[in-house]
Amino acid sequence: MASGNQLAIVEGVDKSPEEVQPAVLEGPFDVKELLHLDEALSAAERDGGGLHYSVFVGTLSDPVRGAAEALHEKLADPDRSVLVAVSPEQRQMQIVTGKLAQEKIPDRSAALVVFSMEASFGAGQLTGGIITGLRMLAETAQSNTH
Amino acid sequence: MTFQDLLILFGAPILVVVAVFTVVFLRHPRPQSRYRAGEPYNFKPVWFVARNGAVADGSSEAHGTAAAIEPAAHAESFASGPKGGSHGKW
Repeated sequence: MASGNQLAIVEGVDKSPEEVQPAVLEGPFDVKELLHLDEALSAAERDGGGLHYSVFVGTLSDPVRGAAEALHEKLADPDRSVLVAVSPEQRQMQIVTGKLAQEKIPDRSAALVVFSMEASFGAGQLTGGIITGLRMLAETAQSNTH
Repeated sequence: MTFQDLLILFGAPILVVVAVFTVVFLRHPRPQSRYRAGEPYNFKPVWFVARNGAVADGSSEAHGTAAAIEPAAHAESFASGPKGGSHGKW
């Protein structure tokens, strides 16, 4: 089992399962779930109103919001990026939007996405919740683009 | 009954069973670590990004440390300004 302080960053959505980094297989997802996440992230990136999406799953140090925002700031284009940070251990989640992303995904819409994700997480569906969240965020951004 | 007979009667079947189990488990190893709600969470943190280079200071083989994801002391310290979004608990 992994020690908790190493972070596996999975980049790119066009990798075959054989190329999935072994480190990510020490995360909470099996290969099938990884493929579903990959597909959802790819779809969000493609049809998500020109925003960039990323998903962090792991423990967030206190204050949780500050940790999520710090992660968001590490993205190459934070203004146009949306970060979904989920901490199953703390049973908390954060959606962080950059300046331009916030125009397409208002905080009120993000709160609705959080409600949906919480329902899935509460039912023990970690992957399902993340996929639902990505889909809703992308649809919201896309609808506010036109 | 000689030792050789015993070896053929019991040793060979046991050898076959062990060989079959070995082949099955080597080809389909059991899942190493999967999330179960309510059970202790001991998994490595993972960060999925859709594009190569989407994390400004991380390589594709990056293994950040806990220090790399420390929270910022003040929201105002972000170069990109204040951030939006939402949060929740379950």
